[in-house]
Formats: sequence, C-alpha cells, structure tokens
Amino acid sequence: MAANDPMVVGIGRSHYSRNSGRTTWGMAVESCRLAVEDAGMAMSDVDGIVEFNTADSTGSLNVAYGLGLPGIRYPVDLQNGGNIVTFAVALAAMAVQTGKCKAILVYRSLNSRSGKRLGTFTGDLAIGGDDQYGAPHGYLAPGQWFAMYCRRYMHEFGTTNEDLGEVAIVTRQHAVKNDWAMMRDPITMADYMASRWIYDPFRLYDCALEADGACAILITSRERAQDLRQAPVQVVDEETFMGRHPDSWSDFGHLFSAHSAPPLWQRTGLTARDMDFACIYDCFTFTTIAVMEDYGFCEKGGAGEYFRSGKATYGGDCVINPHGGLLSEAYIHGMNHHYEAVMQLRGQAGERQVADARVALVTAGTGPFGGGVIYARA
Amino acid sequence: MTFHPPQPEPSLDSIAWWNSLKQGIFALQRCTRCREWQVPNLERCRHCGGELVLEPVSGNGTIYSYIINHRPPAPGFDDLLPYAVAIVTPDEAPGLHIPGRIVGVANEDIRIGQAVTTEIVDHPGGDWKVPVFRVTA
Repeated sequence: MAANDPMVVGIGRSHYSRNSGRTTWGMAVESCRLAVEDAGMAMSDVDGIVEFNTADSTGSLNVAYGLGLPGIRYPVDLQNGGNIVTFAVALAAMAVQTGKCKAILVYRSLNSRSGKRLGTFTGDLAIGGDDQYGAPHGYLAPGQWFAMYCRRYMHEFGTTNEDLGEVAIVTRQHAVKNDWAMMRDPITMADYMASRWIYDPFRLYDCALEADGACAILITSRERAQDLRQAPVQVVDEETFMGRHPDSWSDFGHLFSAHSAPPLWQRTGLTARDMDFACIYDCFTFTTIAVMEDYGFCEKGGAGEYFRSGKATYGGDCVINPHGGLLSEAYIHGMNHHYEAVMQLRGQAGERQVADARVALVTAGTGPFGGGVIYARA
Repeated sequence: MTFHPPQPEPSLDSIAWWNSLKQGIFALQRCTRCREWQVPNLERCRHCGGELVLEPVSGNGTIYSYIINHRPPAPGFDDLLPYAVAIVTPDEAPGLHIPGRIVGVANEDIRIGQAVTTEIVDHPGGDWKVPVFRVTA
C-alpha cells in the first residue's frame, strides 16, 4: 500500500439514449463535471484528461475548456475504440502514480446511434487503408469481422448459437434491474432465435446496443482520496495486448485476451476465481464468451454452459455484467463498464448490488486488441 | 437513389497489387530475402525488412471462416443479399488471411475447411477488378 496508489474517486455519466439531441462536447463535459462533483474535489485540481475517439467524440482540450480549466498538463487523445479503454485507465493511473498528475479524468462521449454509426457507410465510397481489401466485397464493419471470428471459434471449440443466446438472455436479465439501461424487457431463447440475422452467426441480440451518451471516471492518489467524499476504488493493475486489423490476426480461436490475461493474473497473484463480479466488454455476445474463456472463468468452449447453469448471475460463480453490459445497458464503448464496477465496489448498486463485492475484472476490446484492469475496494 | 459498392482506394504500397488484378493476375507480396509472403501490402517485408516482389500464386486456398451477410454495411450490395464473405488462407501461405466473396455455392453449403479457387471479376462502379472465391470441393 502506497500513498500514490491510483484510486477511482469519482464517476459521472449522461443520460443514455438513441438520440441525445446534444453534442459529444456537451455530454463529455457533463459526465466529467459530475465525476468531479461526485468525488467532492475542486475542479482546479484536475490536471489531466485521457479520452479515446474512434468515429465520434470531443477532444481532451475542448473538454478541459468546457470544465473551466485554463489548460491541462496531461492531454491524451487515443485514436482507438472500445479496445483501448483499460489502457486509457492505465495511462491515467500511471500519471498519478508517478506524480505527474494530481487528478485525471478518463471519458468517452459519442453519438453512436444518432450520429456516426460504427460500421454503417452511405453513398458512393472509395475506401483506402486497411479496408480497401474487404470493402469492395461488402466486408468492412466490426460486426462482420467478429462474426468471422465467432464462426471459426464455434468450429474449434463447439460453441453454439444457443450459447450466444444464453449470454444475451442473462445479460438482459441483469438490465431489468438497472434504470439506466436502455433495454429492460426480459428475453427468452425463443425471442433470441427469432431475432433477425445481421451477420450470421450474429443475430440482432448478439450485437451491442448502439447509443448516444457519455461516461467518465476520475482518478487520483490514495493520499488525496482520503479527503474526498466517496470510498475510493483502487486501480490494482492493467494489461493490454494490441494486434492490428482483425484480418491480420492469425488465430481467431484465441483473442487478445489469451495474451493479456496471463501477465495480469501472474503479477497480481489473482485468478478468475477471485473475482466477485466482472464487466466483460460485450460488443458482441461472442466477445463475452471468448474473453471469459481466455481469462479462465471456464474452459475453452465452456462459457455457454457457464451462463446456462446460472454461474454468470447472482447466486452463481461470478456475476457477469450486472448492469446489462453493452448489449442491454448501452454501448458507451466500454466506459460504462468502469462506472458499474465502481458503483458495485462502493456498494452503491442498489437492487443489483453483488453481495460483498471487493474485487472485479473489467475488460476492453475483442479480436486482436484489448485489455483488462482489476479494480478493488480500497 | 442507388449507389455502387465501395471502390478501393489504393496506397503507394498497394497500387501494384490492384494493377496486377487488372491484368488478371492474382499475386501476393513475397520477400526476395527471407522468402516470406505477406498480406496486406507493405513497403518492406515485415519479417526482415527485405525488398518485396508481387509473385503470382495459384489462387488455391481453404476457407478459414465465413459469414452470411443479411444486412449490407455499405451501399451496392442489396441485390446480393444474403451474401457470403469468407476469410481464405492461400495454399502458398496458410497463415495469411484474405477476405473475399464466395461464389458458385448455396450459402447453406459453405463450410470451414472447403477448398476454393480464385477468380478475378470486374468490380461494378469503376474499372477495378477483385478476387472472388469459388468452392471446388
């Protein structure tokens, strides 16, 4: 235990919706301001901001300005999506640990439903870069890349469509008790099987819920956290592994998580069995399955049964995505997983509180790129 | 309003590959020094930094994975729905992944592990040609 241990001391979020009618700038500033107020910290103590911005967001300098700050000493704008969230948290944590910063905000703000929809393109297009090879074949959306991973995964490990369905059903069940979640009506296996194909093997209910909104967390040192309003939540450790474009990854049966999980467990001396709950980045049901298996919550091919037998919910082994995840709460690009983890570890999750939650894994990303962070009640 | 499917926008590293398709040649980059193949096209070999040449390949390969698209992510594919896209591993370089449409087989008959051959076809909306994969066994 050290005075400079990084602690999450504040959380903030906007309303999540299908059409915010607001700018990403406005929502980012709101969520950051709420995080600072939640902590009970002076805004003038914030000297760093980290954000990530695939497709649609507002940069760190705009948000600093909107928060009334004259400037910041640690401006980080990461050109990535939901794969980089835990690394963004790690960058903030390291800046606090080294003494570079007093307090840092990490946020994501996007209008991914009403504005720029990831993986939806219109008009006559010429596409360069990575997607010049796939785009002429009508193959250029994240949902397509990871459906491709999913089919291969099913072939190698026996994962079934029903296994994917179990993840959608249990995740939705959790969202029923979350008044911030956008989708709260329970679904059955029949509903799942009847939902329309998007990119077979993905049906509609396999895909994250495109949404508008913003979410932020505030990180400072253990020492500074003592004088603040909320019980601090420690950023224990983080590990990211990033390959490049999904087509360039050679083994669809083992995702980034096969690389990022072992160092994280080894350094912390923890295992999946020690987690009281987990927020697994669920851009697709398949991602939850493959990442959980790589982190060792169950054996390869076993996640469907883990969900089916009740191990992934209250009274089981480890509650997975108690807020309803990106599938049913909202696709705030994974930032909302961190909000939920902090609520749970503070004991503030109300009806959906996981009993005696002390330590949790939060993951980011899928396919070739992503990471995981461990949070603990301080 | 109807649109054409997306056109490729080649880079300085990939223009030669697209031009060879226009000549009806399916080729892949290969290092003159370490002899490794690579996809996508780069300036130098990613393994040793060596010089690359475009070397024609057989076009024979294996389906590594595939999806059936019921929703087009971009304009220009409505008439093809539902259409299949596969990741194919070429026989000469089985670790590499090449995306392309599957032709000549019913969607429900596509399987991982099937052998394919490559055909080069006109791409609607411009003067580019693209490789597509035909199931042979």
